[in-house]
Amino acid sequence: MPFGEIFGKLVDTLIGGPVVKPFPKEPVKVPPKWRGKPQYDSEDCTGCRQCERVCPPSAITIDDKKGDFFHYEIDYGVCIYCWYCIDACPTTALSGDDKSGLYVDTDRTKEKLNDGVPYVECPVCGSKILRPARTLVVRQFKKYTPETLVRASVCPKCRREKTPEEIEAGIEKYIEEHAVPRD
Amino acid sequence: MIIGVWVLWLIALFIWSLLIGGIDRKIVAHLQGRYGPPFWQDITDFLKLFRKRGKTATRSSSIVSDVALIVGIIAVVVGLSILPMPTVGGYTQLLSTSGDLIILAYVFALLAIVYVLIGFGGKSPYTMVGASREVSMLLSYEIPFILVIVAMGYRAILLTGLPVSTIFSIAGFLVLKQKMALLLLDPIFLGSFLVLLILGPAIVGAVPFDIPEAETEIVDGYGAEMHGPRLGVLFGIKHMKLLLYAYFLWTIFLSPVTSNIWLNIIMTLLGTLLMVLVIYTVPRAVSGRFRVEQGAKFYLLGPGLASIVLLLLSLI
Amino acid sequence: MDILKPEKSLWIYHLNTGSCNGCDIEILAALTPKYDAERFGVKLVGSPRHADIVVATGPVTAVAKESVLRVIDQVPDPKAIVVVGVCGITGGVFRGGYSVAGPLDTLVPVDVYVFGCPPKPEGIMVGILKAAEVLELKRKGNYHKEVVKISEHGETI
Repeated sequence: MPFGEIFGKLVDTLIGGPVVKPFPKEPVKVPPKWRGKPQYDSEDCTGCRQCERVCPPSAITIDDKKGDFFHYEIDYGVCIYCWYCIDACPTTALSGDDKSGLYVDTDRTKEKLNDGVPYVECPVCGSKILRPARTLVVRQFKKYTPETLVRASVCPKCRREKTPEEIEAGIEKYIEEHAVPRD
Repeated sequence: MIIGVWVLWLIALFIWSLLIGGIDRKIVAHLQGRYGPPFWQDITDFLKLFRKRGKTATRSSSIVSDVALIVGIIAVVVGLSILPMPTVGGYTQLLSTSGDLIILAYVFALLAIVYVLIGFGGKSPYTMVGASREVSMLLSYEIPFILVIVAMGYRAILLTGLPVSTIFSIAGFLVLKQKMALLLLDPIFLGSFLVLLILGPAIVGAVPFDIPEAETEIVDGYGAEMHGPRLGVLFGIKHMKLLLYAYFLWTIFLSPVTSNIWLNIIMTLLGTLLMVLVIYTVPRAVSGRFRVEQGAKFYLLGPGLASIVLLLLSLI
Repeated sequence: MDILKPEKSLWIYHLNTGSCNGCDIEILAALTPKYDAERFGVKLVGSPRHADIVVATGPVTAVAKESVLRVIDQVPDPKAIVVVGVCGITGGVFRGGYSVAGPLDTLVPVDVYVFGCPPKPEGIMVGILKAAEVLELKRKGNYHKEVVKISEHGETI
């Protein structure tokens, strides 16, 4: 580059003023398709473990042997923010709507997501099954309320072996015993 | 009395050299479209370095670097005692003798030798490479520098008509300034000034020729093993060397002589800043680093030949 | 007085312990005109002996481990260590690899973690400014941090 051009550019820069982003005064602006932290919504999780299977650095660990709880953990110190888990999720349990863009901490153990899905009782036979996901409840009953949640959480064994009348009677009995608000 | 005033002037110049460093960073930042650090940043850096405590490498010799730093401080003080200080009714030197222009040339060479000593005292491969690069740069810019100084000295004697025993004295230039309006109207002095400007980046270690302290190649070169207070002293010496060279160029060639002392002081401070802008800031903002052989070839072919021509012209 | 505060002058040393270069490019981006970390007094230095803050990237590879420990030992006190990127924090995708000698905080005490793969340059700037706060606490003498202890299987105890 000839010297005249360089000096011309310098003069342009001096006249144009600094091009610095107003960052510390204003919050970070991330591009619309920016990939941030994956967020987890336990109400919508079906427990299919697809996210755990596709995660390249194994940042997602699932422990379903811990008592009455389907233990779900994302370690953001391992996560590479690739969003494979969000693509693999059949419902909308994992989403990437976090736009803060700044993940800085003095303690690495704080940057972790600890959540999980509780086990619920089957209203008919009383065995423990994973709480049904919101998407599945809405698909079956068109709304997500405590009553429809109870109706959806009939275990597969009862659905297979019992008649609809028995199931309906079991559900009614359970709702009355546990004082579940009706629709 | 005059020594007390001179010591105050020395301290003021030291603070001014740190401020110049900060202003230089600010201007480079604005040339690159940034805001840059506050203009007192180099004072903060200097004071911070005295509060750091580190371990010296077992191999490196701290005695050599300590001696080198003391020599550097002495060289700076000697240089400032020779250069004219603004006083009532013009400029006066604290120490004046025939041949003090040559002493000044030695001061700049000595400051380069200080860097070489620090490098060889460090005994790390990086400091050794930095020191040998400093030697090769010294050999390439020192020849035109000395030749130009000699040409200027002869020319000053010729023009002033002073006795030959006062040859190479800065006092001759002060006399000459009373006679001539602007020294640069003389072709020999104009040529010398231009050659000295081109030599500037190499002497003060500005970016196209900061080959001895290339931080991306040889981790800061000769100063790589320095830390804490010693690095602070080296930081101060580097700033003072830059100021000394700018001060030398300004007072010898350009400074207007007035009888008002405050006007003289302000003109000196702003003049040194202007010289720093020309020899340090602008080259730093617009160029990258040269290789060693490129730098040596450039100085020996360009200013080297020009200085020989100037010397021959001044002898005629 | 801001002039006298040592935390206003942050000389950073960029230490690559075997990174994939993604985080290194973002660190350099934080020094470019668009982000301009120099307005906070940040300056990139070449030698660890001049540094206040070590900005480390990458999982510590087995080959680099000795050099990394020596370089961090050469940084004069008070110093702060910032780890940039998930590789330096836990090992990231290289976690448990045969040539990984553990994340950096199992070897030396790490003060600030910047999460991301790679993080945004703003994140790195915020990390460096947090490290300045850590340096101020260290100067006043009320800061203490230990090396993270990990089990044989690579889990934090």
